[in-house]
Amino acid sequence: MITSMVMNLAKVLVLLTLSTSLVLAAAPSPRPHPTSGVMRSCEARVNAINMRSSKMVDQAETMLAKFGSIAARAQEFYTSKVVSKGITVASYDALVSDVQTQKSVAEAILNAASSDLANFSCQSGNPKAQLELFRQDMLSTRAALKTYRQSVINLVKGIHAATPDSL
Amino acid sequence: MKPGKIGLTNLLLLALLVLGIITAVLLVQLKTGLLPQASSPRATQGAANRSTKAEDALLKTPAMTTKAALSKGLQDLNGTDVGTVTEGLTENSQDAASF
Repeated sequence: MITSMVMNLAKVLVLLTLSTSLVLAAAPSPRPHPTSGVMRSCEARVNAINMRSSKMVDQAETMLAKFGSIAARAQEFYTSKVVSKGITVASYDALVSDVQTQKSVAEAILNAASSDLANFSCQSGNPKAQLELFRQDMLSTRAALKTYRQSVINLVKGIHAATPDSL
Repeated sequence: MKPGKIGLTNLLLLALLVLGIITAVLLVQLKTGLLPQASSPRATQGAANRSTKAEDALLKTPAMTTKAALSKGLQDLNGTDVGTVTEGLTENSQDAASF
């Protein structure tokens, strides 16, 4: 009786070991474990890129805010100082409209760049492609900021030209 | 034990085997999704940050009350180097080369 039980137990243990091994072997290969060398190396690079890229986005946002504040102050000046003297700039509405349009364009592209950055990680399918998207969007942001700045310059120049020297 | 007779021990061992397989399958499929505690959706923060920055910039920019102030505004605009916003892209590409 005891011999039979021991034999059965041995058979079951062998079966259990075999079945567990089969299940483990059939399981899909997981992503690199967070503590593995490859993953740690990837995360270190991603962290460095993220820090640098966040600074670039931050700088673009600061520039966007700066141009906006100069445009706003120039408009205040026009309304309170120039118009009150009975002087108007013929193209003022068009200039203001252009500033608003260029601002919206720059903001939209910068949003896209921020979104690219948020999706950039070792877990994303293709981090290199994601980073390339960010690069393209930052290049577009630079171009959009230049255009936005030019539209603010046009507005300030327009007001400046109409402003009497006595002011 | 007589042939063809299933004893209580065999039944218990069979149950143990089934339980072991089920546990193994569940453990293998279990995934851990860990996120750093400080992580946050950066993209959604962008608009809020921008709004705060716009307010800060407006506070920092003094009201224009003279034509000279307009000229200073123009100088400020012309002196802003927009190219600096892409200064880190080359380093990013170098880091990404080994992905």
